[in-house]
Amino acid sequence: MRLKVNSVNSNEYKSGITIQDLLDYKHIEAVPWLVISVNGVFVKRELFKSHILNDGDEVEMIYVRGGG
Amino acid sequence: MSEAEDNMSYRYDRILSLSSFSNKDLKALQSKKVLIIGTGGVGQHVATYLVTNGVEHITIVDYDKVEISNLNRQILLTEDDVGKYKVNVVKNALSKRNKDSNIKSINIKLDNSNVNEIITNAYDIVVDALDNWEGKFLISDECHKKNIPFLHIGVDGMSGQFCVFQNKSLKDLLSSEVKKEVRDGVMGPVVGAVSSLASTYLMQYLLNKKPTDHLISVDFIGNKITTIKL
Repeated sequence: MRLKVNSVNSNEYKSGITIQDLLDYKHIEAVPWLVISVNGVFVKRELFKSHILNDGDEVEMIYVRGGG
Repeated sequence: MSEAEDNMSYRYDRILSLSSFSNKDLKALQSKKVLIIGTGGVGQHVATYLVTNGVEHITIVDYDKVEISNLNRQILLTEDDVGKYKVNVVKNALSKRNKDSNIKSINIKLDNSNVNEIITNAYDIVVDALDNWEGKFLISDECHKKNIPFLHIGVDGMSGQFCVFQNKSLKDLLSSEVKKEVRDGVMGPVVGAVSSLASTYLMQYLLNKKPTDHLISVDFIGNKITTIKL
């Protein structure tokens, strides 16, 4: 299926994958300062393993910072 | 128009010339009270933009002394200030930028023993300009408990983020495990850029022109701004 991940469109993804599957596929560690949204809406990290991505979804991954 | 009113009007000439900004907006900003906790790179940028653009009632909180390594991002400091209490230097510098402003300073380290006294409903919003997650969570929890809007700002490395929390809090976004964040250095202008965007958002928020509970991330490696609805 097609996903837009961090602004990059690709149809390389298997159907029915979860956010955690996507992270594993991309070799991205879910460090505590990683924040993810799907279609612009925040997804709690407790849902990474259960939130199934749909064809056309837009996923953004950002790292929050604690400096000031 | 009196001379004082004339001077005031001319001081704010550029912002009053904005098509999306009115005299009523300026008066609204002048009535607001903002508490800024932390007067490092973020706090100095935010305080400067607020004080010079109409938000004249500001209280700043810090306990730190000026170090030479602060100067790459803390725009109100000079080499002559090294060793002085930052909150005094910043208050003085802000007052020089707007003599009509009302700047209060509190020279203290925010902690569990004083947070209840420092963060009160007297403020329209509290700005988190601290450089550590412990302090950020402390501010967030207190503001959430008292239903005070809270502007979180964080910067490190080549990126940063900000969010006005009202219905949500930092705990809705992050676990306390975030305190394990691996920290980087910081390029001075990145602090300025993120703080400037946050200041712009804050002024618009104070005029009811921006929503709460939207996280805005700025990444200078990917040249990207991302908005996430909480």
